[in-house]
Amino acid sequence: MNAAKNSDSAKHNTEGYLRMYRQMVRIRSFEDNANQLYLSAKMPGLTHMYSGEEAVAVGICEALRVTDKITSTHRGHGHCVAKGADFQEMFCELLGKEEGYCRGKGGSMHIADQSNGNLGANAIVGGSMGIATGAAFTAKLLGKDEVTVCFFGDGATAQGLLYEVMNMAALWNLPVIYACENNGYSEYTRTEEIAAGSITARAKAFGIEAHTVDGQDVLAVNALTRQLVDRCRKGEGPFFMELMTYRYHGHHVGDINREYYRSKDEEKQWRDNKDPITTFGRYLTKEGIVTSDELDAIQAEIKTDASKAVEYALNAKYPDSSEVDMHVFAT
Amino acid sequence: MPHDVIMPALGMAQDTGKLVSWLKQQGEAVAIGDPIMEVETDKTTMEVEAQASGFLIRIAAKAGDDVPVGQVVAVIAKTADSEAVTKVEPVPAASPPADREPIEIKTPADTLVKTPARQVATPTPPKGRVLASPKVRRLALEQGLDLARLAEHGVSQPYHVADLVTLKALGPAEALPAPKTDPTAPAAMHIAARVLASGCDELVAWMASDGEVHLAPRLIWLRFATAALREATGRHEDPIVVETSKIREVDGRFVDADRSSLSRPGIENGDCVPALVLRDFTASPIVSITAPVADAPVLTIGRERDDYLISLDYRTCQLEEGQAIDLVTDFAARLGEPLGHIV
Amino acid sequence: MREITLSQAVNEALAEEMRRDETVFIIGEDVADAGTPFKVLSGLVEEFGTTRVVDTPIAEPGFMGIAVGAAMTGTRPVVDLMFGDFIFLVMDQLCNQAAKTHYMSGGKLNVPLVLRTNLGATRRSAAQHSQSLHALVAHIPGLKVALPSSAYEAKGLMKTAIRDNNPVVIFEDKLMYQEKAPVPEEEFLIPFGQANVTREGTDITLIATSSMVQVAEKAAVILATEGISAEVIDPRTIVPLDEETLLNSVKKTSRAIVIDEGHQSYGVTSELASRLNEKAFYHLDAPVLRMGAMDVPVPFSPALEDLTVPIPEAVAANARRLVAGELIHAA
Repeated sequence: MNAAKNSDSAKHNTEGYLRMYRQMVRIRSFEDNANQLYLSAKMPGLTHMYSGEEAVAVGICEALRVTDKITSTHRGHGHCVAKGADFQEMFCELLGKEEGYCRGKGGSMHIADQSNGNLGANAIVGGSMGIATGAAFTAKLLGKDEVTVCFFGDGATAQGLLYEVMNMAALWNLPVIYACENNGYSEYTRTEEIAAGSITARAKAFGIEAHTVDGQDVLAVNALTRQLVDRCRKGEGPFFMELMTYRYHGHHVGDINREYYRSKDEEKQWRDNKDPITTFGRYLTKEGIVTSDELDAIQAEIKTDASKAVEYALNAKYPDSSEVDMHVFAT
Repeated sequence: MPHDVIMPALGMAQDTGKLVSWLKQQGEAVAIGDPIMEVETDKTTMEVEAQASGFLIRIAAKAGDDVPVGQVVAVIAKTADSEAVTKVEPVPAASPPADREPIEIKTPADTLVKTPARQVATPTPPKGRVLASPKVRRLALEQGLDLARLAEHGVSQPYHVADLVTLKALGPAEALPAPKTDPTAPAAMHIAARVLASGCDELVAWMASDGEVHLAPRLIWLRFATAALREATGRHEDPIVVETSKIREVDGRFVDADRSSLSRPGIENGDCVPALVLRDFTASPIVSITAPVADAPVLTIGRERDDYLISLDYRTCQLEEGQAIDLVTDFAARLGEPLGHIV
Repeated sequence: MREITLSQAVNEALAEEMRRDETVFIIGEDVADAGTPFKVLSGLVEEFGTTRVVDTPIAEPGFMGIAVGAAMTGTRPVVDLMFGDFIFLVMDQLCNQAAKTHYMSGGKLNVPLVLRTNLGATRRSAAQHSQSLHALVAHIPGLKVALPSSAYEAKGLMKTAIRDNNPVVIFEDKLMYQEKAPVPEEEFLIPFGQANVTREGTDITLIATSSMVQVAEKAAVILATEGISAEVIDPRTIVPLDEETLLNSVKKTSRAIVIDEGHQSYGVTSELASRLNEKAFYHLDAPVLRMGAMDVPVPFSPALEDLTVPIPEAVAANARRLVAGELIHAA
């Protein structure tokens, strides 16, 4: 928690700390329920779990305003929750129900929540890098002081689009932060096997300031993001962050037998020693900000919220068949 | 060798260039790289440099002319005196390049449909399918015309709307020759009977109210017809397959319906010829209809107020008259008192 | 009425819309000072500056992606794709992102962008600069496709495209840039989905798009000298398609040829012919013929290239056979 120690103003921001804790627990709780929905065959299709990476989404999104934009990935539930989305509409979307964020037309990999500045998850790896850069372009063209964060994984650094848009973002000083969530695995392959050289060096080659940060430390992520967002608003963008993190589940919920690429021992090490929620909870109690009973109460309350939302979504109605060809074109 | 000075293609969508001015005069010495003329294209003006050294002669365009790209506007020659007199020839008005419509170029093979010229008449009327457009088929159908008559009269195919004129000119079709009668051919026979429907109605109503079994009356008739046919023909050991249909919609074929469950008769999936076809016309206003008999005798049931009208159409090769009378009599009796024949 | 070139018409349409709506901007390679290689955009940068006439690196997927993101966040980009052939480079951003965003978001997000590019062979530009690829994008639900056939059409359709709330791809005929046509000085728009009957006739309908409208009209002139009355229809937009006008014409004439510069197989000609067969079958007195570009990569040599594209004489020859009632395909 070095970042916290360096930031006196943040240290006493009890409300902000608790909010970060709650948001991380909400993400974990959402994912636990989503996993159960998949395992009990109540959810159509597959989903990609964000569990383990909560500090990244929360640390970043807590540094953003509602009007700031994010673009998300196939592993996008965490970003969506962190940017302010509602459980009920998210679960409805996961189950393909009419009341979902996208009226059941997007599903797990395409949740968009424009009211909170979430321009949508994207099922093409690296597919949203242009969109994020474009959103930053809009801010600059229209003179708004909005910042866009482009979430993507280490796997997406292999896509050429990243380098095309970083080049333009750097040429035009766009207010965009490229946030590379390096969870060590590009689908079923170790990152070392798909990424030559250094990831941050690639951004530096375009003259983009790049940082590596511990993605399990929500305060460190938040402190760095606050600083970069402020500088973006002053026209000093773009920036690049590599956030070192870990996904607890496989590539997707169905990726159960994964010892051929990753050992159970390694997973256990991360869960036991580097869990972002446990670590932050311990910090909060140690600093006397909350008691462990209060944290338990938060956990219990969120668990209930999530169960209610799941229950609601399971009973919600599917879209009417007349919706199938609606929204192909905007009016 | 004299070097041709041409109007260069400077823009991508350029067909002509405007000669703004000559920077060298007729007969003047030029070196490679010297600007020799000013050209305007796509709103920009630029200088064109000499590509050869020598003397600029035979200037063939004047300032202000629009010159097609590629056209020679002057020549750079070794000597200035090869043509001492300035001759400014009028430049033909610029015309768009003829690329799009090359006169010499043959029609693309793939986009043309190659067919022999239409023949006036085919010597022999074609057999089988008549080739005709969808529109002429529709019009012929609507107007009661037979396109096959065009073929019979040797008009070549395919037929189009224009051929209807010819078809109408052929006049009404000759009456078809009466079919020759063969004294040995099996004759078509018909028997009709009438029986009260109340017995059957009561049975169906009772089963629905008492046992909550909702039974189509057709299933009862199927059972009775199978039994009656068995009795009439004495086929006590053989399987008997009966096909049922509602008006013209076939339900299916059932084997030994008189010996299986009333509500679930045994289905026959093979393509065997049924021994009898049972037709239910009770849901239609038709009370009586003669059936075209093909492979099997046809037993038709219609309804007129409180009565069932039963008719049997058959050929003498299928049933003897006595068997047919027995079949209808037995069936009518069962239908009149169904309860006694089911339990 | 004054006559201007197609190039000037497009330029005027863009300038008018940029004056009317400050969120409209142009992005692409060499669009500013160079005004594109075809000089279509000359003069715009002087009026609107480099913030709204944006030169990019040679990175089609990158600037296409930026345009998608910009469109999603409140601007109306006009993307300049130098050659229609480069559309393959932007397929993910166009077809996976722009086309699907409105639908996937349940109608929440719009992508109001215009991709202006070109089509047309016989410029001696060989196989990678001569293709007519509009059928590719017309296949993707969510994209509108406009095919202007003259300066007048180019201006009216471009203005409508810019105001449309969907991604619209406009293919200009690059051979027509310097061709003049009467274009009114007053403002006008051409609505999408309204075909233009450019010539009325009674014996056969020639449905032609873009560059092929002139070919069809020339064929109609040839046919008129032989006493055959051909109706020529320009659908203007193939998505949306004005099916009604096409069907009504074919019901009147009973015969049709569809002419389009895209490759014939699986192309626009096939699609339109299918619709006529399905919906006007009982009115057809002859098979509907397709005349597209030959199914070969466009060759460089003029002697070969000119063989690949439908020409008026070929259209007239086919029309003659249909009207004469020749046996087109023996059973």
